[in-house]
Amino acid sequence: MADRGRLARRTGRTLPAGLALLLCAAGCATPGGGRTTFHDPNMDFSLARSVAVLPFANLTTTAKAEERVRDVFMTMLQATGALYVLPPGEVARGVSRTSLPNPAAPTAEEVVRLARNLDVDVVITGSVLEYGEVRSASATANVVSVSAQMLEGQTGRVVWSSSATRGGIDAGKRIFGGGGEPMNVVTVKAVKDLLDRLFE
Amino acid sequence: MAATRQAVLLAALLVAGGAGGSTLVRAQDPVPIAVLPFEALSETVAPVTAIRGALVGRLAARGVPLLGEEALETFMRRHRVRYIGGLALETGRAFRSETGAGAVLVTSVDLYAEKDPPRLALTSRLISTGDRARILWMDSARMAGNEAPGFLGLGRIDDQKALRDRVIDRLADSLARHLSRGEGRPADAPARTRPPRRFLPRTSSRSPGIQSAGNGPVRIAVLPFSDDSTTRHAGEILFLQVLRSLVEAGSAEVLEPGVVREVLLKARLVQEQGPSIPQADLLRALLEVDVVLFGEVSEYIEAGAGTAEPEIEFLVRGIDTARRQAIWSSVSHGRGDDGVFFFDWGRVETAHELASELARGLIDRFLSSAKKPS
Repeated sequence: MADRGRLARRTGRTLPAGLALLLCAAGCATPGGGRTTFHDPNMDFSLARSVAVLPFANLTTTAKAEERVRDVFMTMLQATGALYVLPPGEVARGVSRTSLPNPAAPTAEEVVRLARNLDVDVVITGSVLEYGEVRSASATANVVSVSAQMLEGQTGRVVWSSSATRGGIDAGKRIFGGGGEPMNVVTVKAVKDLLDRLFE
Repeated sequence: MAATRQAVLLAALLVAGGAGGSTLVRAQDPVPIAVLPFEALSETVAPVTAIRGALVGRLAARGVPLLGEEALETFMRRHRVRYIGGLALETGRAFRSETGAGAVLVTSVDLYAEKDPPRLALTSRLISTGDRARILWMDSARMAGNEAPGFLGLGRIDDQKALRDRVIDRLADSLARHLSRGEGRPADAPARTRPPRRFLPRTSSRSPGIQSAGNGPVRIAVLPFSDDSTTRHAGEILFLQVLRSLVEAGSAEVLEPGVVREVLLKARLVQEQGPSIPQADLLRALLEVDVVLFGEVSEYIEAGAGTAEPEIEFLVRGIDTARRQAIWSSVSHGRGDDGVFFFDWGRVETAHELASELARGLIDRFLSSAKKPS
């Protein structure tokens, strides 16, 4: 009986404290602070029929990471059936003909010239921010972080921008260990997240 | 008796598959096959001459008529033939007119390991000579010493020579079977099984139909694969497996890589990320192809002593030259232990076998979209 009273007193103290902490945390959050996607409200995305995916920038230490992510991105984008994705050789020809100094980060004028040259409605650029294995104590896992932007071919302005991260070590892996998923699977998931955000 | 029948069938087959119209051989004559020196694509140094000698011996024992070594050497010296990975059109014509060879056997040693465990993989294809270099047959044979250890490891093979004999026997049997059967698949042949789900491309996109230039089957040219992996010749090995799967499927006309290479060199078509649309136009004009396939290997890890599972990742794209559009894009990825849960059941021992299965899965899915509109 005495035990039950002690338990009730303890619960009565911890529950309000927990609620107060939760309210504080919610108060610290800013509106839109967790968002990672920008959609231009003035852009009609259904009008975009063809796209040129430019070579991605590689900000990681893994060689060719940008090519791998771009390959998966192009294949999955084409698989949606929403847009016609130009073959990479054709994009390379356009890049060469328009003499883009840095195809991974073109200026608005360069985007307009390239889109006209390749006869595409939009151009997509991207960056691979993280690609490889992460370790924490005995746990290892693959992680991919990628961002992409869509630029309108007529004006060169950004109409969509988003980023996605997949993989890494969560609490479960930290406690129980494990090797995580293969790089290809993590990459496919990250790209799927990006495309979901594009078409949402 | 069987050898005579094989020689006659071979002659008929080569006449049918070779030059349209003018031919230098009559169907009753035994038409010899020229066995080119083997191409070494393995990471380790392989005794290619000894392996070739063994295959030549096995083919001769099965009654396959072969071009003499001296005649072959003289021809290769006279024409300065250095490329042994395929047959260029000019070389094919010269082979037919000067040596009388009705076909050329092109073989590569894709995998070779002496021990821990011994492994060997060969890929071979038979190409008709004359005015039209056409792939008549293509197959691979491979084996790893530990692939079927059986009870208490009694089935394990530790001797490379014993393993080599088995692999060469498989390849020679396959060719001899094809020659004695004639062209095409026999009516009573069992239906091809669909590749398991784990070997299908992880991501793929395709167009609903492919337009053909003529009335025949869809003509496909496979361009050399670029290689970003750390394994030497991984691009060539995967290229050959994709080619083999296409040839085996039989529903498309696959251009001989030697002919494609000749055109690429003459037209100076070099594009790291695959052909552009104007380049695809040029290939259509020069080779009359409906589809151009090209790819890139990003990972190719061969299982070895102490290392983990074999692992492969590659990408294949296709351009429809008539519509001037990208029609196919896929990313394939596989590991030797994918989908293996109990007692290594279904485990793939070598990257070469994994490449073969992934290529089969890829072509199965690709060809389902490449049916000609009726």
